[in-house]
Amino acid sequence: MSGGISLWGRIRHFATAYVRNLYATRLLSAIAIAGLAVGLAGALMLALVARDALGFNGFVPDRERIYLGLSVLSGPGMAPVVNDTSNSRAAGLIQANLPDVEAVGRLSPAEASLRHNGETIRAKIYWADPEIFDILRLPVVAGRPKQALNSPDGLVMTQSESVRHFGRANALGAVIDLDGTPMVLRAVIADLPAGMTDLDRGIFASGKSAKSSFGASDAPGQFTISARTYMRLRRGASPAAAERRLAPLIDGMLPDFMRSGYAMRLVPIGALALHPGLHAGVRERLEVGSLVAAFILFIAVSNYVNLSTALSVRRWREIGVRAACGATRGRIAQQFLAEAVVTVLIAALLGAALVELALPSLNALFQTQARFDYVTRPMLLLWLVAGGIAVGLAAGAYPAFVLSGLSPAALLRDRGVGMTRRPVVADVLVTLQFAILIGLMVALAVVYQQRRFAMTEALRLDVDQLLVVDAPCPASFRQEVEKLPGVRGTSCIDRGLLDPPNFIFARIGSQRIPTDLISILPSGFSLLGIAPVAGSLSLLPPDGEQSPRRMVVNETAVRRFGLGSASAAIGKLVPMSSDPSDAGVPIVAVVPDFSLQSVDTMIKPTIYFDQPHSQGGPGLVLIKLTGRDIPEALAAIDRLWRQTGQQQPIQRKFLSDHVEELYRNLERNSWIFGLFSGVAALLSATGIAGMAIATAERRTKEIGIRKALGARTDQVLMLLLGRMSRPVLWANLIAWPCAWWMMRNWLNGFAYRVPLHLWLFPAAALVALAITLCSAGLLAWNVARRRPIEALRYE
Amino acid sequence: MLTLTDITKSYRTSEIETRALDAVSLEVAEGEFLAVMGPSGCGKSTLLNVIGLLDRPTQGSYLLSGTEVAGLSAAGMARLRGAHIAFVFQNFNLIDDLTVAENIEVSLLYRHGEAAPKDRIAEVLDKVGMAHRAGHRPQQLSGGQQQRVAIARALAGKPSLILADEPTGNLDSANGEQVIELLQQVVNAGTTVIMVTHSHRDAAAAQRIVEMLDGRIVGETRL
Repeated sequence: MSGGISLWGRIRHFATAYVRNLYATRLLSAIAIAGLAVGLAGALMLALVARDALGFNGFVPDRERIYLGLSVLSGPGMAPVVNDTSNSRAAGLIQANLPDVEAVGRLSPAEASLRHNGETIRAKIYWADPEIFDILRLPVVAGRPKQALNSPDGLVMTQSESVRHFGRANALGAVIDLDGTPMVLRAVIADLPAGMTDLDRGIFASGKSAKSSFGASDAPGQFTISARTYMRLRRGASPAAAERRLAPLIDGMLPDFMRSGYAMRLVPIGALALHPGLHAGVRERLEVGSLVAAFILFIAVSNYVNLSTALSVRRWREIGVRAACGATRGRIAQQFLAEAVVTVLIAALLGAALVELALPSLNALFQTQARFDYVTRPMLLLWLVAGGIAVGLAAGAYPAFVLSGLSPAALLRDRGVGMTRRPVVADVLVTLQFAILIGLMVALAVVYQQRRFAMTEALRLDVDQLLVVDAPCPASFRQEVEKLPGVRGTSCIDRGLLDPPNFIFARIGSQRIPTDLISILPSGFSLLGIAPVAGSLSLLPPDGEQSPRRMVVNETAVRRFGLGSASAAIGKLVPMSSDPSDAGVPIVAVVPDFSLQSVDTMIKPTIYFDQPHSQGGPGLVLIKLTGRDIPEALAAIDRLWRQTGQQQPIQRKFLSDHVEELYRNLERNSWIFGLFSGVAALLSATGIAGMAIATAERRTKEIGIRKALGARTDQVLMLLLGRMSRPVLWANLIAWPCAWWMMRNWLNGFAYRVPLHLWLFPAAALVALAITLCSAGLLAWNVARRRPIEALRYE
Repeated sequence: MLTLTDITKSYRTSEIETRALDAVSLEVAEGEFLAVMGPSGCGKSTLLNVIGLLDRPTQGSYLLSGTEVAGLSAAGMARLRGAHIAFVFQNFNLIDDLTVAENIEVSLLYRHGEAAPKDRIAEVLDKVGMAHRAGHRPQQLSGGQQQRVAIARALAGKPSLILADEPTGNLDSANGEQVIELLQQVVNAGTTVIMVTHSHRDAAAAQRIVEMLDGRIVGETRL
């Protein structure tokens, strides 16, 4: 309806009414707005992180038709190992045999020394086929990248690499020495957006160069997986069909023993960021994070709905007057909806500021590079406003519907008629809110318990004060370190302790069982706190032997090899290679299962043997410290490292740090749960406090009557608290089964896990109840002890 | 101005049916000042709500300016209310968060035709002698002043019918007299006023008194 008052005049009027009401209810409004800001910030941050993950490589034209070939290594009883490189010769086979593939090209990651103007920089580069720029049509700044790589001395760089090496963004024709060979910059491409692509380096050197790593890996008889093989399929072609045609071609190149254990899989380049084999835990964290962010937003919105419905008591007169002055139900609803939208937009603005502050920490948590780049991408702002309006409409719908439906005659006659009871919706929302809080607390406790279990019991190792130095067991260094006062003992072990170890398919009868091989000196076991469960380590020569004639196995090996009990296994012969003529070596001891790999993978059968380490090769020196004067001991070790003639700088770390790193995924999960449970608890507590204030206001008259009739303060207090804690008790009915089901599934993802303790559920419920009683109790106490006359005069 | 014929209004809870108005018939002429009297709970306020289109009769016919309004939709009732009817309440019903002038503005928001709302607000405030309090909040005014503002609010939209529900009920006698005087001025200017009151002195200012008992009109006095 167009009224006599101008549009501006009306906006001014409604804005005044809104702002004055907001000011009059500033404490509760602040609670509601702050909650919404936190909820919206959480949702926005998750959306930004998800945008990068889902829009991965989105800047590459025809992204949906471009695939990267992944290598998947698998065997019975082992978790598949996924690698983003594949065999260098696969590209040629694909080009020749797969008509569905339009173009195929390779990138081979390498490190090279780049020398220009007398300055040498060690840099990460790709050796690249020219076709790669046919497939990945990256934005070109100058030159023609494909042609550039056709000449053996051709080089393509991103703008910032060009600036880094030549001092200017477009240095076409400049010459740089790459590992001793002059190369010419023939094309420049735009910088690759960080975090949005799997391409992690900006220098592409021609694969036709004599220095290229393709030369060695293309040699027949070799099977190495070192090249990133990209291909673009024809429109409408099926990647599954291409994969099936590819399988026999790849099989033809494989050595016998790998034939059943290797496959090349095609993965769209848009799906690389969330591939579980390449980035373990990222998808899970994103899913968990999104779920929790949705929970937080729900809690914030339901707080707003509850508080604004409860706070509207003070606006009943206004609604009545407006209705009496001719406002239709629709126009009253519009007013409250508009207020909700404006409130949410204010909260969104605060939320955006929170995102600016918190996004770096979230990126660190998720290992992402999400940016809140609303300046360069104004669409983001538009989405933010649209999202704010949508949340505002959702949050405002219920209060607007309830308020506009109240009878104006009743509202004008006396306050309070029409909504003397708390609406059912409010109870439902509070119940759901507490169900979420209880569920999050159970989840937090389970994740924490599993993390502690993984880092202590499941490890079955004593990693305390254990230092590892990256070195192939230099004898002189070991001997000297052993003499230091702060050192309890030293030993040597191969890198299989920390990295995925070498493995063989052990021939046991007709079976081929994937078995890890780890070389370790006998003293290593005692430093790691491992004692044999059968046999003895004393039979092993302390400094190893030239070719292994004895072995130690773990308990899983005894079981999987079918050797009966641990003691029965002593003396049995087990082959240490896939070679059929290998008669095997005897088992001298059986040790308990232990692993420094993640707890989500089962421990494999493992053979420990001791070989001399003085011959070089990758290895680790284990040093057990006494734990006293650690800085002095470390300084002494560093000094001995130099004094015993080691050329490279010492690389050492505490094994406990490695374990921390290993369980960072779990750590991150517990962080997500911890952080968001805290936020959820805070929001729920403030929401309940707000509801308590509103309930007390609404029931002032009832309290006055009860007290006038003789009720004591404590009786009134119990009445109020009983009413407020009821939704918390109901919440358990929803929270317990849901949390039990979800956390059982989560725990099932670990090979070694804690039991799901049932006491956690009532404990979480008690915490939720305590939050309610603490936040509502004080207010209820204040109301309950008021003199009855004050309460009755109120009306 | 308005004609009610056999208007019945019942409220039904789960078990009891309460008849607030029982076959009420009433005619009010344009420019008339009518007082409705009767004991508490006799249906006076319900009658006022039905006439003011805040409530809908259960049965009967209601002609407002010759148009049947008994079966109108809620939105239709709201529009007619905005265009023709204004209210004055015993408890003033001013909005605490708004100033005096803004309270009066509310009655202009939902209607057509006021070209210069600021002038109109100043005019009605002047008429009730409250121009010097335009920027005050209701809590800063005395009861009598609040009721004068409420009358200014009712006048602002130039309604043809003003419904006053015990307008002096919360006021002392001096302030009450002022309010009745204002209502008389309104009637003299040609507006119809229907006033519910317990006070015989106030009722004496009207041109006609209707007596109600148990939801029925039981007597009528022309003054």
